[in-house]
Amino acid sequence: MFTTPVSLLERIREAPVGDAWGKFVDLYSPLLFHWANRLGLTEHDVADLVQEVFTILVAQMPQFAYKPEGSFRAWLKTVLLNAWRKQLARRAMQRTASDAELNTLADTDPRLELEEAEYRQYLIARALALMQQEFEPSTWKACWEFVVNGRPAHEVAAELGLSLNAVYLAKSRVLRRLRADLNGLLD
Amino acid sequence: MPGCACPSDVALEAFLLGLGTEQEATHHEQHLAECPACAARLHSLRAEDAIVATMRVSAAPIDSPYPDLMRSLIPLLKCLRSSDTTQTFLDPRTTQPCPFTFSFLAPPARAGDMGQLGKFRVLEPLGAGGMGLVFHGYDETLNRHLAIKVIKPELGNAPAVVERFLQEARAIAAVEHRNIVAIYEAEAQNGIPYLVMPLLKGESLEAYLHKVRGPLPLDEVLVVARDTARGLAAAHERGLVHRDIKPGNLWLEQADENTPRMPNEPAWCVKILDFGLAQTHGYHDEGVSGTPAYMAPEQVLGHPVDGRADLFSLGCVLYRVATGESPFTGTDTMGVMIRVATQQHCPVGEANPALPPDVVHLIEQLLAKRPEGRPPSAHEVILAVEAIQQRRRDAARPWLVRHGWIVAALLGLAIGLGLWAWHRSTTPVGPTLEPGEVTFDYTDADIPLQILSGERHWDLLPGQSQAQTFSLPPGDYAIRPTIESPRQLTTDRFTVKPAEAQTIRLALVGEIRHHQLHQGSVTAVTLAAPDNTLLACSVGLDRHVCLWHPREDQRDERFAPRFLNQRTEPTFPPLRALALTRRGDRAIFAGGDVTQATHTPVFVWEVEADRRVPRPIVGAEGVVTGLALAEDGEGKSLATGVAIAEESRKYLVATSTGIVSVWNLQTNKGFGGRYLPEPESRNLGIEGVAVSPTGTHALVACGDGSIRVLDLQLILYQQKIDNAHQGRVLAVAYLPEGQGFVSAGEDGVIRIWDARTRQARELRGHERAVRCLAVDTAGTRLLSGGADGTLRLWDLESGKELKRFAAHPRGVNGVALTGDGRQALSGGSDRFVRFWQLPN
Repeated sequence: MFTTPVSLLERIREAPVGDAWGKFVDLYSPLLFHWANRLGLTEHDVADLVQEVFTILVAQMPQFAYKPEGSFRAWLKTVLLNAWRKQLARRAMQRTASDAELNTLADTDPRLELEEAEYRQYLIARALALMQQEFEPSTWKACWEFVVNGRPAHEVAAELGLSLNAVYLAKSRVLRRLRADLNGLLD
Repeated sequence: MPGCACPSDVALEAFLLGLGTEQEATHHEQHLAECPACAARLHSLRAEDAIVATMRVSAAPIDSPYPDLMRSLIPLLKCLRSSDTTQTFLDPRTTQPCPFTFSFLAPPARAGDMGQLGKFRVLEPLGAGGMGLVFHGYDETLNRHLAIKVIKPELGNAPAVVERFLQEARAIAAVEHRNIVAIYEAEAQNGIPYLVMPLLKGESLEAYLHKVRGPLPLDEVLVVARDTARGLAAAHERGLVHRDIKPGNLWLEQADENTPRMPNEPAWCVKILDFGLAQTHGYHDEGVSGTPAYMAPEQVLGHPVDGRADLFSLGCVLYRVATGESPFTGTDTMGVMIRVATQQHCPVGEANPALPPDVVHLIEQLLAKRPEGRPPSAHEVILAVEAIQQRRRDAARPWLVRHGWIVAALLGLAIGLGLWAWHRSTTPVGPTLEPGEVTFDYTDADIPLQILSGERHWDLLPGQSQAQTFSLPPGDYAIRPTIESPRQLTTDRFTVKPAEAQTIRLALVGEIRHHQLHQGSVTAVTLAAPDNTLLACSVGLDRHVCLWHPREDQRDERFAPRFLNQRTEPTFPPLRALALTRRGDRAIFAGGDVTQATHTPVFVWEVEADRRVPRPIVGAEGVVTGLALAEDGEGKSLATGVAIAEESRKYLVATSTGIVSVWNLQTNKGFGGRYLPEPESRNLGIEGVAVSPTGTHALVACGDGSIRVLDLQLILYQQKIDNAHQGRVLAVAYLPEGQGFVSAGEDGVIRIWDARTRQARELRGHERAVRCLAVDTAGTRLLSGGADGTLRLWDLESGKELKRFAAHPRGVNGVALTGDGRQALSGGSDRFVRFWQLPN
């Protein structure tokens, strides 16, 4: 059994402020904007909804991190749907939401369906993009060519003027970072 | 050939995949640099898993629909703090979303700044909260760093509102106190008000609690209490109420090295933030402002508030710091508000049994639902806390210093007396007397009591189904509730005689709890007792039906109040009459709108299935033979009374147009109806109905001053008592087993009618009309409610008034009694529903 370094989720559990939280916001903002947009909201409502979701997350993430029940992806979707429902209900009170709109609110919404594979791809791509500048360009490039593009290690080493060992280490280090960021979030 | 120090293939593969601890990774990296054999092994390892596989897939990028919006929003989202989520609650109808542009900033005076507010440079955002945004600012003229709080625009920030806000802020600025965060300046730019404050070091109590997770040490609890009370006292003196005291608004500032402080005291002091902002900001005429979990009940209910509301909030804060939990929690704002307004919190001494009694007492006092139950001012709180702190310091001193006088006294005593003499010094020393047995019947209890004698005490616990017996030394004793309660003990002192047994029945008489979930006059209330619980139902002119469990733990989700209201049931008229089956599984209610000419709708709610069955309309086709309400002139008919005859499976509806209709309880179909025979009586209408214990007859209280008896089988009037009251008869109720019945009227008199002779005895006391009556199962006690706002309990045999409560200032409209007559429910024009403990 192998353990991983302290994950982002665990750090948020310890202190849902500062660094870890900032990273989380960076990681998930595009996805939440994307989801909110798929609901067919105006720009203003998208901003409102995303803010609402993060406000709930900042309060409830520590609890989720402490005792996750089910997958993070499902939980996130529930938080978003509830926030959206609240937004609609609020507008219903202002008599701007049509009954039809409220009636179509089922428990799940097909517009929010995102395949697990698709979700993982998004998250990993986003996390990689965000961490890139924290690595030496040669390390990054080595890992990219070796792992993502699947080229042989000796070829990459020769091209970048690195030792073979350095290419393997590049893979190990980047994957380590990736795991630390995404542990507990990928399901 | 790898030596024994070389890692296995499995370990190396895990290393390549980024698994394992940091030390392991460092170790492997080191090893690989030194061991060519292992390095050579790497290329033979697959080191593939789901993450690596996913990295290979070139994913379609997630489109970011509003890149500019996202860019401007991300820095603010990063500033979110968990304390913001107990967001300042504003009625959503009055709340506008926050714009995410910084249009209120003037262009920056220096490169790298965000912008300019007045004479201040705005450097970067520090945080965002319910109230607005906080920026790191800089004052060029004074060369100092500042915090600038920009208030979120609400209601378009009308100039008058901005002006009012600034006035309030300037009033606070005038209060200079070390426990209140100073306001240097309060200005507006482009119609957006902002406050300039010192850039604080330290953290909010909310952030601190988040780190500590659990109760704070008692010394810190006391400093939070004392400092906050000091700040509040200074502001309250000037008539300023904070309205949003919560951990997020209490800043723990590192105290100066030079500030004198007592041993054990923390190295910080508390400063109150955002004074008065909730008030002007919340537009309290329309919405509710404050943070529900820390709001006083009167604030939740939208009543006028004074400094005592802040004291309640302080109580909530102290509860949280002393126990680690908030007294009122919930997942949604409305739920929390209902809990704050109507439910008792878990006693703080139970939430943290380690708390000393004086601290428990203080917090419980602060958390009294009614402002009168709390300490009258913040000054009292300061005195109480300082006294506790003093006692703690005294107790911490060496025993010899503390009890020096005892030591001296002991020295003067003959050694033979032994040490036990001073051990007993707190109780009178005398010849040993045989103790007396005292049995307490305190079965209705919900508040723990203490029996006191000198410095000794015994606890009398609530929730015991059996009487509790104590063996007590002879002497005089006092009994008092351990927590502040507006209720009175039926007996508060007693004497124990040697070797004598006695039984004392105890009750805390008065209001147990109340709710104000109705937004209009409560018109009718009723009780049912299915399965050992007690179910209270009420209806009102606000078109709400509310079900409530007044005896249950009000924090238990299962017993949360339930509603039918206009939002779910838009066809409800103002409701005026109500009946509940004995099992509490079905509520029948009706009403009508005086301003609209309609039939009288009757509604049936199947409570367990939460289903409303299709309503019948009184006067509709086939229901009332030969008559239709549409024909009776104006057609304005109101239902004035509903009664259920479970024995004969019927229910009755009486109306203002003088008809009683009889319905099948199961099928909801009509058996028929009967108008009052005389046209002039018909016009005066019916005020109420009651069904006989056998279910065969009904009493009808008539507007013409008469009482009539209706045969439910034949639907025919059988008897009539003319002039039963002067003016209208407003309420009738049967006594058990053919003993007769009681009536009440506009004349303020209650009459007890003999079943056979039709002669009446009178109960006088109400100063105005008596509107409602209830009798216990045994027929020994009567409860009446009147337009004079009082609730009166009568002994039916002697006709004596046993107890009187000033219950609902604008009149009592409905009463109900439990079967044993020991508890009661009332509702009134003041919109309250109250649950009472009556004398034994």
